[in-house]
Amino acid sequence: MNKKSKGLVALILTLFLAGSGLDAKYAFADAPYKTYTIDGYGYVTETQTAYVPYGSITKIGDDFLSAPRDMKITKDGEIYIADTGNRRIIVSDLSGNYIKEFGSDVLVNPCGLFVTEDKYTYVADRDAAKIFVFAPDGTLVAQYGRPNHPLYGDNMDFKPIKIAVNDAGIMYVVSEANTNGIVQISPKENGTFLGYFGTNYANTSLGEAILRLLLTDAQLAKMVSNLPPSPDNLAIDDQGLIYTITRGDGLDSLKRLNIAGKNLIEPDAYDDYPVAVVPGNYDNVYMASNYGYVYEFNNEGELLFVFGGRDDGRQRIGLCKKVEAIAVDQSDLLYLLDSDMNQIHIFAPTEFTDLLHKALYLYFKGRYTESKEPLEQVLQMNGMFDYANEAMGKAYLQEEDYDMALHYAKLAKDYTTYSDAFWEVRNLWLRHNLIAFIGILLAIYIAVRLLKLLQKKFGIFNKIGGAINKIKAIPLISRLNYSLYFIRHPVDGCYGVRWENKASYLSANIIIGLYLLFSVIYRYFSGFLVKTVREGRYNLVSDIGLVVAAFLLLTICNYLICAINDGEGTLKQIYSGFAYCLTPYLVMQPFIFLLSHLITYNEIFLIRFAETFRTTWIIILIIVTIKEINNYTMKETFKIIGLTFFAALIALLILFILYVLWSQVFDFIQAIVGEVVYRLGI
Amino acid sequence: MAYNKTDGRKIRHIIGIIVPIFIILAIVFVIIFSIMKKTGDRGNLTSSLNLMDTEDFESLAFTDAKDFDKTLVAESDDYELYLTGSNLSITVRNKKTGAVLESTVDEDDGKNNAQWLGFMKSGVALNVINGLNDAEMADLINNENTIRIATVDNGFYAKVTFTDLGFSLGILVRLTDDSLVVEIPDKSIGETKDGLYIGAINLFPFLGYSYLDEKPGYMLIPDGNGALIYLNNKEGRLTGGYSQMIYGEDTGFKDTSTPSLFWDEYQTVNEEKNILAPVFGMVHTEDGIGFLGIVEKGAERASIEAYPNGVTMDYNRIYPKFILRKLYVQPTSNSNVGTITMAEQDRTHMDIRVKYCFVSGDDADYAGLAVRFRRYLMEEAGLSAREDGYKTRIDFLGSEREEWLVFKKTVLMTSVEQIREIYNRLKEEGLNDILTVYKGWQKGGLYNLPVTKYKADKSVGGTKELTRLIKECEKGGIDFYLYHDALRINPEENNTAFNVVKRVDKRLYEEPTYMYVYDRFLFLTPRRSNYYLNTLSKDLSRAGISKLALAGITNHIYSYSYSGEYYSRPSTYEDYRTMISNLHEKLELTMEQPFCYLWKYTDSFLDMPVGTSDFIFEDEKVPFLAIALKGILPMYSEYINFEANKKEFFLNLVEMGIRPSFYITYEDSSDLIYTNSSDIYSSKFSNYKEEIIRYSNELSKVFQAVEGAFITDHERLDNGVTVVSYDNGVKVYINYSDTRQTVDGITIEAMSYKVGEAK
Repeated sequence: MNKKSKGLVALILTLFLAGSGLDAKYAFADAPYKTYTIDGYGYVTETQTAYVPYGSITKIGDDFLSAPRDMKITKDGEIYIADTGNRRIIVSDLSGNYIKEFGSDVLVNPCGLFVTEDKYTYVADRDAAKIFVFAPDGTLVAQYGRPNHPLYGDNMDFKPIKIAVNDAGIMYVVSEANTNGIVQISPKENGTFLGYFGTNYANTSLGEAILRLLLTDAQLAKMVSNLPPSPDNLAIDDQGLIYTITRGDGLDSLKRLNIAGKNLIEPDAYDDYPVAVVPGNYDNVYMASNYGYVYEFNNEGELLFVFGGRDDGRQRIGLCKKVEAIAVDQSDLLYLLDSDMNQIHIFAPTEFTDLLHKALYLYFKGRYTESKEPLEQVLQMNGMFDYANEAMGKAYLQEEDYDMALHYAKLAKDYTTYSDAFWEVRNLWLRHNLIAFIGILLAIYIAVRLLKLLQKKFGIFNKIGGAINKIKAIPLISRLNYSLYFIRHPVDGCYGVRWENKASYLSANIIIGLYLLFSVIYRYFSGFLVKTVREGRYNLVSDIGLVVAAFLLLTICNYLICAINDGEGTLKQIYSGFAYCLTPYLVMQPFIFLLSHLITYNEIFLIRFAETFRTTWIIILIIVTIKEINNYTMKETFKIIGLTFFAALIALLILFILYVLWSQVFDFIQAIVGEVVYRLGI
Repeated sequence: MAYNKTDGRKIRHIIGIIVPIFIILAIVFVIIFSIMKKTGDRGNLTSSLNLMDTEDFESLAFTDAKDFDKTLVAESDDYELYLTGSNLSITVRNKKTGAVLESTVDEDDGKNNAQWLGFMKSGVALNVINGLNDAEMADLINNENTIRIATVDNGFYAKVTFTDLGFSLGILVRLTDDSLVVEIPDKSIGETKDGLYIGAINLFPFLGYSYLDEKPGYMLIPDGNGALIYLNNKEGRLTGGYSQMIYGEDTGFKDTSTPSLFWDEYQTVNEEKNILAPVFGMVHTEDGIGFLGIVEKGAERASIEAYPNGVTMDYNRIYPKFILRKLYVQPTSNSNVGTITMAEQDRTHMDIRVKYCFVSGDDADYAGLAVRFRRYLMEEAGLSAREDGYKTRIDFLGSEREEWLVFKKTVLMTSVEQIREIYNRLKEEGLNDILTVYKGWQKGGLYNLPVTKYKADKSVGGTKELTRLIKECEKGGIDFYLYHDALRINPEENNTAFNVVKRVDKRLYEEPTYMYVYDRFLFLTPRRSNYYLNTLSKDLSRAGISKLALAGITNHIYSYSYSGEYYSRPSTYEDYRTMISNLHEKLELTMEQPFCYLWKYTDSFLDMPVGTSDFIFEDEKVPFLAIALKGILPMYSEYINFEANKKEFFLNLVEMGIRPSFYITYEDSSDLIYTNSSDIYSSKFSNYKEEIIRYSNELSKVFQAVEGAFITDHERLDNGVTVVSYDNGVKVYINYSDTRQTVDGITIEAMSYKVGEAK
């Protein structure tokens, strides 16, 4: 085989198969796992290690744990563990030294526990179907069984698996498979049922909604009922707010509920399999997933860090097998309870994280100026940590340094802060320059009037006027000019296109070309608040290609449909007619473009309005064009439009089938050629 | 008309028939021709490794192995070697202290099955490939074998034949002054039965073993800078041990494990660190005896296995395992639906040699092992004491590329002029001793690989400007290296139809980058890398430049197939070694995290790891490599920019004698956000200036005090203070605790250090 075909064949031969994974070259691997954060665009980016593995507790004193399911750390540094496999509660200090144990005489399957400030331990025992309360010395002082209140629900079992207790002693219990929500029990009178709390919402899909409308009651009764998921775990913070986590609830997986059951947090990330949640020391929230990933959110639900990894037999520190509980101590160490490895993994925050926590704390206490210093240090360590950029922007905004606020808000993609800061900046500019601005406008107005007067009297622009008229007489220019007339008088314009040869392929193509140009410029260079495309990402080919393809498809389908429906328009007329319909875009877009750089969120309705207006205008023009060029009635026009879309759909389907068939043929040829070349020993 | 329609039609008809016939015939010919030609030659590997002395072992006087029963077969000044021939069990005894290292278990604890019992009682155990099953093991207890032993000077030669498996191998064991050299020559290895192959050889797997916590001590594994596994009772907590290939995993074999991805997209776990030096160690601290095992030959395809008690058996053991043949999965169709499992066609031909260097008494600790390793490197690996004055490493990133509308846009980060400015600013603060690696200097930016000629990117100032800067640096005493990744090629910027490496299963090897602009790189074949290296070095010499920083081929070796031929790791190893040794004669080289066999060709060691891979079974991190290399090879750390715990890292540098490294750009690192280097989240010079000066001022004082000195001891005290002793009498105290401590009369503040006076 000669060189050329060898190359060609080798080219065909390059088959894609993934090699082994490669870590980013520069990320310092001082922990076996990477740490990620979410940047302003909502994309996941890597960041410095936030928490390093600090150690692990593999046994308490001389005892091993056995499938432990829950863990709580008190403020004075004692760890209470629900040692489920050994049916007891075991207490140790932060280094794993044994302190005491209790409960082995009554507990059957302790799944959850809670320790109050005065060291009373509440244990949720699933198989005993009771909440046991132990005094600080380990004696059993109370137990609560299934509430026999009618509101509890006759068919509902009581299988407590997790529990939290507020300052008033009211118990919030997660009962397994109870979809009504969290069971609230007051300790009065041996356990009064206070109602359900924090119920989740059931999600109805479109299919289900349609079915509901169509099916009879009897059929509906046979369908699987659409019940909301029940919360899986909960925690309570110092202010009495309850955090719940629910598996499979998407962005609602993590909730922070006030006493009325209203959700106060909207996290921007979620995990498919969360198991535990704990409030941190800086108004932040930690959520642990079953696989060992730990999420840290600030108190507004923005993701600060996610780190951790799954131990797939790699045996590296900090990788977990099956996490059941998470806890934080007073020195910010994180504890993860791994029921498969029967140990507690401990993580320590790095200098980077400490700085961030300090900044967080200061910011939320309102000490914005003080919070800037640690924020600057954080940004020095990681200039792309968008949460820090956002906080800086907000801090500057509070300090009324609007230019800096603008800069940081742009880095952090914080649109609200950007909008606010921009408003202020613009305000200042206007205040300083309004007089000058008006002065210039006035001057221009006077100048124009003067020139018009001179023109009337002395005809000073006659020569130029003549030249302009000559240019206007060139057919192409006159046709382009006609488009402006077309959009204002569509019916008349269509007449011109049909009978007066006021449109040609060239002029239509020029208009389409301009449309593409304007739309690309707008898409990539419009004002920050309006831009929808991520900066640095350019996809010219698909942008242009999509528009051109859609236009051609619809035009040709329309022509075909019209042709078989007694339409009088030729392809040229329809094509150029549609092209002319796009002219409102050309007319309005420059103004919208300018506007996008000058507005804030307060005025964004202007752009939306202008865009709607423009789009409606174009649609009306298109409808009129179809009607006039083909000489249809209104009813016929709508029928044609419907048929056009249908035809386009069919055309796409056919193209798709052709593509699939061709790719099969191509694969076949590729395989044969590959075989041949392999035999030749290349 | 001369041409009428019917004629035309006729001609069209004729053409319409002939041309397709031609095409069909051509295809048929090609197919027949190809079938007749020999299909790809999977011949023998290029292996130009030095074969052993051509002593003909067959002509020795062999006796039956049973004649040797704890017989003394060799003796040196300090050590004695005893042999029990029936299971090739050797015992080493220190004559002065009486301490003993055994290699097989006499009586086990009764908890082991027959297979493991055989393993722990044999001097050599094999992993066997039987057809397509590679889980079988063979040893001297469970399998029929004959052993013939001949005594030689200082040792013995044992010829082992596994009769029912058809394997034979010869083991030569010799005792020198303070070390034991074990060799298995390649020519002595034989496989006589079809379908039965030796998969791997486990050499003296239980040499130096201990049971549970009977003998206090530790095992040293070459993970990162070094780690210890204590010989204490692990109480069954551990399910696995350390098993890593020396010199990194073989990318020629497809990774069969599927990693679990975070959010189905992100690989959150960092790879384990490569083994940079083929060493392993076992120390019984109480008995005062230990050894450092150095794999001198065969390291290219060997792994270090270290298992603490509780993993399969209650014995602590560490040993090398030499891989001769592996099974792999060969896809048979494009879509990888059909696959067959195959064994490599030929076994890897390499001689095997391990040197066990003994330490005793006070030297029986990890510091002693490191000192012994240093002695080995200086006496036998071609390294020598080097002037090691302090330098700060400041690397610069020149230019990168990002997507823009149609083409790629240049992102200038640090131009030549800006480097000059940075040097001047640092000079004003008194900082002159700098080592620089300039990355992304080449035309096309950092990832326009490979670099084939000396041509700098216009944005950084052009080639002439760069040459001028380099000459200025030479005069000014700054070591300025140009960065060159000799291994990779960027398929988007260069033609990759040829000269790229395919894996053993003949599929193209692609290294994903998980980045936006360039999403994958391919590897060049060694021959091609060599060609480019030569053209580049010619260009550099012509311009009068002599310093090159090498990356890629310095820490990757792999098996591959190319053009129908199969090349195994030892051949790649040899190719790279020869390439670099030739280059070493023309240029001054520095290397990014090089493997041990390249240390003698490099001026300094870049990206020295400070930590380890953090395995669960590691009980302590020790700076084994740092202790061994201080004074013979200047070491530079990985970039401090991305370190989250800077205070602790600084103390690590003081402790280990490693110089700091910074990755600097003149422009803000946020400019890189749309490039392939978007993971550099902090690099602006103005942010780091203070830190660079502070590090340099403090560290240069420490280095001055210990310049030219070797580390003699390294101790971790209970109060959190680490004491590093040098042979010039200086001791450096580092306090990692958060309270002030006093040691030897010297007070050290919390999280701080003190350099003691030379005595």
